[in-house]
This record gives sequence, C-alpha cells and structure tokens, in this order.
Amino acid sequence: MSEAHDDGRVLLEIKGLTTAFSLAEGDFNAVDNVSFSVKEGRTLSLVGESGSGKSMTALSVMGLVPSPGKVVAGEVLLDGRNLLDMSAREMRKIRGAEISMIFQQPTSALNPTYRVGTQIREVFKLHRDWTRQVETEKVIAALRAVGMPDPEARLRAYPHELSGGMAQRVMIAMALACEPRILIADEPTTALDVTIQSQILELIRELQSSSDTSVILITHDLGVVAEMADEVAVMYAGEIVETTDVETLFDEPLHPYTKGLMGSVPVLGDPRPRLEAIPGTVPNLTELSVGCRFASRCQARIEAGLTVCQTHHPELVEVRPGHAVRCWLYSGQEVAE
Amino acid sequence: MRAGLVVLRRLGETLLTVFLMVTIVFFLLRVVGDPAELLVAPEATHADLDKLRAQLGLDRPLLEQYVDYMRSVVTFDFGRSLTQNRGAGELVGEAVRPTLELTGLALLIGVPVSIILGSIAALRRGGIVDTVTTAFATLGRAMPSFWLGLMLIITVAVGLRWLPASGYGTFQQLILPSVTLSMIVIADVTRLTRSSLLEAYGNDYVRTAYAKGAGPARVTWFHVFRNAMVPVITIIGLRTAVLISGSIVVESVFAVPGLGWLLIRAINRFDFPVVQATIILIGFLVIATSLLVDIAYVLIDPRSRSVRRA
Repeated sequence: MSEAHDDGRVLLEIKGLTTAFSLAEGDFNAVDNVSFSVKEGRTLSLVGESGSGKSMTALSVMGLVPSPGKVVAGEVLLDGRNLLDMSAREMRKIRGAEISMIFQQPTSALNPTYRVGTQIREVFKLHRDWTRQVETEKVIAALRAVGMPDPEARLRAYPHELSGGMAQRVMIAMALACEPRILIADEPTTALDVTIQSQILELIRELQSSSDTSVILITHDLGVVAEMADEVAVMYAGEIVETTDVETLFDEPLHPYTKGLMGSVPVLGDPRPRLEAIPGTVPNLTELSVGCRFASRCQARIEAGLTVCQTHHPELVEVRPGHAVRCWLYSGQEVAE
Repeated sequence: MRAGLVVLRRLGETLLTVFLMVTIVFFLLRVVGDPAELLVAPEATHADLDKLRAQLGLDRPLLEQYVDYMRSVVTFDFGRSLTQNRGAGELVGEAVRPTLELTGLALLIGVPVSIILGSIAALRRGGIVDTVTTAFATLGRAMPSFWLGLMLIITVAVGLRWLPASGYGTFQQLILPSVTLSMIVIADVTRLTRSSLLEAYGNDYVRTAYAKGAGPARVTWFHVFRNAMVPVITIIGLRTAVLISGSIVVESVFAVPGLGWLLIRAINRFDFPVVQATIILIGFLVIATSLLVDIAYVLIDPRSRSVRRA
C-alpha cells in the first residue's frame, strides 16, 4: 500500500468480461460486463457473497470456465495480449507459469495419490526444461520459500499427511514455482483455522513483495480485504457494483450493498447490540429484474424514495477519480425517464 | 498399527475363515446324503452297506469323524476319494490348473477390455461407444454364463468352426470358456470404470491440474485415471472371486476338467473328501484374491496406508 506504487503499471486489464451459462433453469450471465485492472505488484480484491460471480471471474481469466459456461464477451489483456484470443495450447503456457491460482480447499486441491514433491515437480515438467536433479532442487527451494519445515523430507509426503495450512503452503509453492506475474487466490484462507489464516496471508504478502507478483484476492471476508488489498472491487449478482482503493472503501463506502457488508462485520468495542444483516438473499440470476439487481434488498432506495431503481439498470459511474459505483443514488439525476 | 501386525492379523483372519468354511462344508455334506448307498452294487444287502460304512469310517460318531478330519487337514492330508482310488488332494491339484488358466485368461481379456471401453465411454460421454457400451454391459449382466457359453459354441464352434467347442489341453480350447467367463468382469467393470472416471473429473485437484497448465490428456491419464482406478480395483477383486466360482458353470458347459467340473461330479457321488478338498481350495483362492486386492489398493492409494497405521 506504499505511495510509490500508486501509479504502478497496469499488468492485467479486464474489459467487459461476460461469462454466460445456459442451463435447464434458464440462461444467465454469471459474470456480467466486468471490468477492472490489476497493477504490477499490487493486490486487487474481489469481494462479494457466494454466487456473486467472483470465482467465476477468476476462472474466466484463467480460461477454465466449467462447462456449460462460456466467456461470451470482453477482453482479458495481459500486457496487452488478449488471453481470450489465445489457442488452448498458448493458454496452457500461460497457466501455472504467468498466471497461477490457489483455491479454497487446499487438501482436496492436491491430488491424493501423488507425493507433494511430484505435484510441484509437475509444474516444472510443464513449463521448464530442466533435468530431474535441477527440478528436485527447485522443488525443495519452493517448499523452503513457503516456510515448509524440513522440505527435503516433506516433498515425499502425501497430501493427506499435511494439515490444511501446510497443504495451502504447498499449493502456494506450486503456484509460485515458476514465478508467475499474477497469483489468483480464491478464498485461500476460508477453510483454515484463524491463526493459520493470518500466517498464510502473511506468507502471500511476503512472497508478493519479494517477487513483485500481482495478486487477485477473492474473498467474502472484509477483514482479509483490509489486511491485504490495495484496490477493491465489490461484486453483486455477477456485476461490479463498486470499485475503489481500500482506504476509500472502508472510510467512505458509497454503494448501499457495500455499506451493508460493512454493517455485517463485527468490530471490537462495537456499541451496536447486534450485527446488521442485509435483508433478503442474492437474487436468482435467471430471474433478474430490469432494474438494479440490489433494489429488492436496498433500504437506502426506500429512504431516498427512488423509483428508477426498479425500472432502469444503473451503470458503473466514476463519482470521483478512482472510485466508481453502480447506484442511482449517485447518478440518478441524469436519468432520462 | 505396524505392518507386521497387520499381516499377522490378516493371516489369523484367513485361517479362521478357512476353518469355519471347512466345518460348515463338513457337516452340510453329511446332512445331504450317504456315499455308501451309491458305492455298493444294487443287489447289496444291509450287511454289505454297514460293512462299507465301517470301512469308510462313516459309522463313527459325527464329531469324532470331524475331529479326525480336521487333524489330517492340518497336515494337508485330505483323505482319499471314495469313488476313485486316488487321494483327494491329488485330484484337486490336477483340477486347479485348468481353472486358474481359465480365470487368468478371462481376467487378461476382461480387465483391459473393460477399462478401455469404460474410458472411451467416459471421455466421449453420450457418443456411440458410450451408448453401445452401456447397452452391452447391461446385456452382459443379464446374460447367464451358461447361455452365453452355449451361444458361443453354436456360433463360433459349430457354425463357423473357428474354435473347438469343448475339452481341455490346447490353447484354442481355452478361448471360448475364457471369453464366456470374461463377460462376468466386463459387464460390471466397464460401467464402474466409466462412472468412476466421470466422478473423479469432478474433484478439485482436476481444476488445480488445469490451473498448473496441464492439458486434457495429462489431466486424464496422470491425475484422474489413477484415482478412478481405486474403486475399479476393488470390483475387479470381487469379480475375480465370482470368476473362480463362476467357472463351475462354464467348465461344465465346455467340459473343462477344472475345479468346478470336479466339484460337481464329486457332489453327485457324495464323494465327501473331494468336495471338502475342492471347497477348501476355492476358499483359499478367493481369500488370496482379496489379499491381492488389498495389496493393489495400498500401492495405488497412499491414503489406505496411513489408515492402517492410524
């Protein structure tokens, strides 16, 4: 979060990314016209409830959208090259080498039938042309870098012999083995104990600063956001509803949904008798209204007496430099009925 | 638990199983019939019968016969055949070879065929191979071995004259009965391979492998296949046990002088020692198979090792 980085070079730029699913229940866009950019060496956090499309956004960037989903529009520009135009073979060279990903359940994300060392070595087999001996040295180095005690012995361990925290360290070692430029971390600490959570976050931050890797951190945990993020994009029902830097988000959240998220976080010494939950649930993506997707749960709309929310879909509007919000409260005046 | 203890425990379990099996067979046989009546000439008197029973030791109290028998079994003496002037162990020893050849060849045909068919069906889900394989596997389950055996004899042996219809001694004679037996494996294992592969594709580590930059072929054969084989191995083991007992029917259809053939003839003649010896051997083979499955299991799935140790 140092000031020197404020004008960092944009490494990954996502423009109008839309990922559609066609299911028996109906068609919907799990990711809908999503745009954001990630600067070199910085951390962007995608925040939202389950089903908001944050994981699907990450998988779309990786080119790993599960069937029957499909990226139907947009661009994913890595250094100006559009990943969506690349062949399957070209994308394989990007995955694991330039963009890596770690997941929520580290133990099940590792193959139970192979030793940890074999699984890390696989990344080298796929992306590097090294001798077996060099590979082994690099595997040990990768395990050492993530703070694995006794890496020479641990490379012979099987995933089930590791704790969740250790398994996530292995995943991180594997993801960073080829020194990628972007690490996508999808809820990397959600399945871990609280004490282990902070160790893993600390590890990601350390490795990031020593290698200048950019991180896309997907989480629903605002505590993790506050600790890790430089920029934040809040997602709701497949869309980005607010995006800004982390200080502004916590000091001055604009979107009623973002405010609602803040209200549902416990704070030490909080005078409130109970946490405020956002009423209602995330809408079904196959039955979205024409208006704002948050309208049915929005208290602020009722208080402000806005009717446009239910009839017109708001655009993401930059209300001040670097702070954009998708809400009629901040741009309602310009609407032509 | 230490590895040595595990082996010891298994050995103990095996011995207990065999002991119970022999006991049950021993008493069951003595309920169903009297070999002496079959052995004597039709014009024999009651006195002749009693004499023969005494000769065979069948007049003694049942428990005494049992203890006696168990004592000799421990020293691998299975007694003499009541109908042929030979040792029961010797007869069984001769018959085991054809049966092992049959089941071995049936596995050699059945396992690769089912794994290949099941894999293709899974990889090309909804395709022609998938549809045909599913129909084929269902048919295979529904079809009794003796009927399939007869159909093969009628078409391949009698109609086309490609292979001999029955007997034992040449490799050609083994083919039809083995193919018949292999259906027992193919029907189940094909379907299981398919579903097991499809299920394994849903695992998180598959996504990880793709995220590392692995291609579909590598994901399938390096990551998914090995995991998918864990349940398949178990079923192959269970099916092998069925194969050994299933060969009783198939051996009769094709007149192969194996364990099944020997067993049926011995049962018909109340040849107790031979029946008992055959059952003991079949039991041993089945138990040995499950031991082999356990070993394969440990080799393929590291998790099963520490479960034992825990």
